[in-house]
Order: sequence, then C-alpha cells, then structure tokens
Amino acid sequence: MNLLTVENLTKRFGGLVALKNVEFNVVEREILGLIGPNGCGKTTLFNCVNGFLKPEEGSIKFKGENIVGLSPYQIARKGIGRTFQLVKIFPKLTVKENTLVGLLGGSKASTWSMLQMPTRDQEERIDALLEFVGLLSKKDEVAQNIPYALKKKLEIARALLINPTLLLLDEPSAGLNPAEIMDQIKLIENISQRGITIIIVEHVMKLIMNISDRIVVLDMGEKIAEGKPKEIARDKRVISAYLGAGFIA
Amino acid sequence: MKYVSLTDLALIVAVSIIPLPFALLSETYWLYVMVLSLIYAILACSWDLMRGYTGILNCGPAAFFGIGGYFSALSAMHLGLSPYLSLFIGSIAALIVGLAIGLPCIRIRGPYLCTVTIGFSEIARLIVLNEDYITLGPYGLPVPPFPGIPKIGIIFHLFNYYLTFVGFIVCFLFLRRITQSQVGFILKAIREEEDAVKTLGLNVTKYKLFTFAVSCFFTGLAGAFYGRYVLLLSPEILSTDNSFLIITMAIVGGTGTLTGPVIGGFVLTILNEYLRDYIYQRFVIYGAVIVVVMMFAPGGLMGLLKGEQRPTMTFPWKIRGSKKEVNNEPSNC
Repeated sequence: MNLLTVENLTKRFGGLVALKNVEFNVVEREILGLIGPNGCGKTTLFNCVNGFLKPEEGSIKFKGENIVGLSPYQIARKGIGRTFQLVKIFPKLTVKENTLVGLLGGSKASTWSMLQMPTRDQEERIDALLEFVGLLSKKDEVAQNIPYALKKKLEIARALLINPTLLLLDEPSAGLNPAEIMDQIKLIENISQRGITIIIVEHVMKLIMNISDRIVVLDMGEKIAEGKPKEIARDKRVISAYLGAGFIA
Repeated sequence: MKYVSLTDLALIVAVSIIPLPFALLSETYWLYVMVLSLIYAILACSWDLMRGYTGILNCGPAAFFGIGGYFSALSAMHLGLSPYLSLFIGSIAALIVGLAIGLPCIRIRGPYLCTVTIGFSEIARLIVLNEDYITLGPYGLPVPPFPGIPKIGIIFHLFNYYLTFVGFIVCFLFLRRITQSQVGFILKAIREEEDAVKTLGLNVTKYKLFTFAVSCFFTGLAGAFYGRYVLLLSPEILSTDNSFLIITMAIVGGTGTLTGPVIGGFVLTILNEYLRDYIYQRFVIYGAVIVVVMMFAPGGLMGLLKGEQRPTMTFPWKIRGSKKEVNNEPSNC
C-alpha cells in the first residue's frame, strides 16, 4: 500500500523551477533513497512534504489525504518526522531535554496538563529510546558539547519520539567518518525494522546503495530515474547527470 | 527535583524581610524605594519569561506596564469597581493588548520584533498623552490609594509592600512553575531552534502567544500596583526609557533565570535613586552597563554567582589570528 504519493509536484522560486512535475510513491515499510547532484531539489522536496514550503502545483497524499497547505506542526502530528541536513538540535538543552521536547510533540497533551515536571513514565520512554540509538551514556550532557555524529543521532532520536510512520532523513551521514557511517547504517536498519517507512537523502553511495529498497534520482528538479539500487547504478541518465555524458560506458 | 529551588526560597525570604529594617528605622524614603524595587522586580521577571525562555525580544514592556496601570485606575474610578478587583482589570487589559500585539508579531524575530514593540509602546504613550479627556494627559492621573489605610507613613508603605509582595509571589511561583515544567522545555526549545520545534508537531504560535499572555498579564499587574502606590500615573511610565530600564534590570540580573531579574530589579532601582542627580546621563550609564555585562558576564549577576565560565575575551584587535571559535548562536540580547 502506498503511504505517500507525490503527484505532479512543482515548486518555483520566482523564475527558478526547483521541482518540476515530480512524481513518486513510497510503499509502506520500505526505505526509499533520494539522490541527485547538488542543487537538484532534494531538500526542497523534503521541505514541501514537511510543510515548510508550499508547492505551486501538484499534490502530496499521506495515507490518502492531501497534506499540501497544512502547517509543519500539523503534518508532523499526522506522523511525518524529519531531520535536517545541518543538525538542528537545541544546543543549550541537555540530551534528555532535547528528546523530551520530541516526546511532548508526539503526546498531543494540552498546555495545562503539561504544566508539570516530566513524569517517570516519560523518563522511562526517553531512556528506552536513548538506549536504542546509543546515547544513554550522554543523557545529561549539554547537547552542544557532544560529538557531531552523536548530534545526528540525537536528532533522529528526537524525531522518533513523535511516533512517526514516515521518517525523512536529510543526509544522515554527511560529515561522518567511515566507522560512524557503518554505525548510522545499522541504526537506520533498526529503525526500519520497527515498521517505520524511511526516505533518505544522501550523497554517500555506500550508505544509500546498501540500505535502500528503491532509489529515486532527481536532476535539475526533475525525476530522471527510479528503481532498484543496482539498476540505478547502471542507468545512463544517472551516470550522465553525475559525471557528464562522456562517462557512459 | 522540585519546582522551587533553594536559591528561589532564599530569594523569597530575602524579599519578604528586606523592608523591615527600614520600617524599624522609620526610613520612609527607603521604604518607598523598596516598594518600587519590588514592582520593577515583577516587571523584569515577567520580561525574562519572554526573552530568557521563549526568546521573544519585547522592547516595549513599559507599554503593558502603563496599560495595566491606567486601565486598573480608570476602571475603579469610572465603573466604581473595588480597588482589588481593578488590579485584575488592569492585568487582563494588558493581557488582551499583549495578545493583540503578539498575534501579528509571531512571524518576526530579532531586530524586527524589537522595532515593532518599540513602535507600539510609543503609540501607546502618545495615546495616553493625547486622549486627555480620560487620561488627563500630561497632567497625570491621580489615583486614590487602597481604602482604609492612611495616605502617608510607614503603614502605607508597608501595606503596599506586602500587597505587592503577594502579587510578586504569585508571579514568581507561576513563572517558576512554567519554566520548570514540560512547557518550559518547549519554550526553551523554541528559543534555541524554532524550525525544529515545528517538525516535532508542536504549535509554535500557540506557545508564543501563551508567553505573551502570561508575561503581559504580570506586567499589567505590576502597573496596577504602581498606580495605587505612587498615586499618580503619567504618560512618562510608558516611555522607552522605562522599557529599557526594565530590560537592563533583567540583563544585569541574568536572563533565563527568573531569580536574576528580581535581584537586578532591586539593584538597579537603588542605583537609579543614587543617579537621580544625573537624570540625563543615566541612560548612557545603563547602556555602558549593558555592554560591560554582555562582554564580561553574559550570564549577569546570577551567572557570576553560579560561577559560570565567562567566554574568552575577544577584543577587536585580537580577533585576527586568535583561535576564535565560530559562534552561530544568537546574541544574548
């Protein structure tokens, strides 16, 4: 069953067409890779799905419901979580407090009922999740002081706490070393095993070819290919978009 | 972890006994300064909820202070309400105006918000100045004191002090409850990274309006107490000078602590009295004070008390060549 259906999506910034008639489906419980050269509109697509940007044309259907025009927090409440290319954690709060905000976002409690301190139940849920991503030992550290790789994990943990059905990961391994990338692959696979559908934007081919079930390739705002990782690696249009027409074997 | 820390308790006890020595010595002048300090402590404290927690830079708190004062006094005089009830009329009026200003201000941040709030406070001041058929304009509006107590003497001052103290306690404990609670973490998260909070399914607009409402309510309450104590309201109290006095208090005390602004309120009101001879130079001095505090102790007095490490000094002539860390954080003011 299709969890997310993007149809005829067009986004313009003045005269610049950032996305042109993009169409694709995301099937439940799959990992969809989204790749393309720099500036091809991957993050713009995320921002449209997530509600930060409003596309000019087309529709985005999540669980059969059009979500174009809803504000980001409403879309998040429907079950779409996301992380950012440049981590957007809350630098002066501790790791625990960072994740607490995610938990509160997912709980949909009223403001008045939240005028109390974090309960034991909430702390347990946070601890369980921090253990899942491997951050439990850093629980009480101020978020700006933890290493970059852990900040990326923290952002994922925070997004997981809103109980998303669809998780958008924007370059989860940018700026990480090879060991950390392996770690990140393991984490993403574990998340997928929890039954969460994932869309990943990534430049690190090792990661995307390993874990994606399907890959969508964008170039200059248009979808140029879609298919299994192995097919994509041999696709002429993809090679030409990345390396230039001269490299097609 | 409890809602109220030991520091908070010590502060409340200190605030509750501070006027007593002056009362014993019959120093009415210093009693007067103490009541003013307490009123300014409420103001700085509720300003701190906006700036220090949610990160909304409101540069016109004096407008809400004045609105609270005038509405409270006028409602008691023209509608014949009891003076105690009129305190709430003043606060509610400030809250409603706060929401009305907050709603269009939600989308703007930093210097833009600062400009809008300064503009609003000037408009409010000009309205009070010019609508003199009801506010008596530049002559000032005489306000009757709370009934049943003499207009002068130690009793008058002490009565007002402890009545304001009740308001202060309610304000301080309520704000502390907010900042220590789950909502407090959401507010701090909005200050740090607004976009990320949106992606977590939290309605940022709602929490910002909540901050506006709470902060303006207590600012208005302080205004209502002020009118009943000083017995004269003038358009001067809505001036930008007064706004920046409140802001200086919160920054000197230490934003984001609630206790700091209370201490700042007392320290600066007393300093203000000593600087009475330099009425025109006063704000130059405060400007210098803000700069010095920002450079040497960004955490304010509370930061110093907690032993917070001060950032490595980067003088303009040292920046080149020195290992300056790239700092993306928004400035503290």
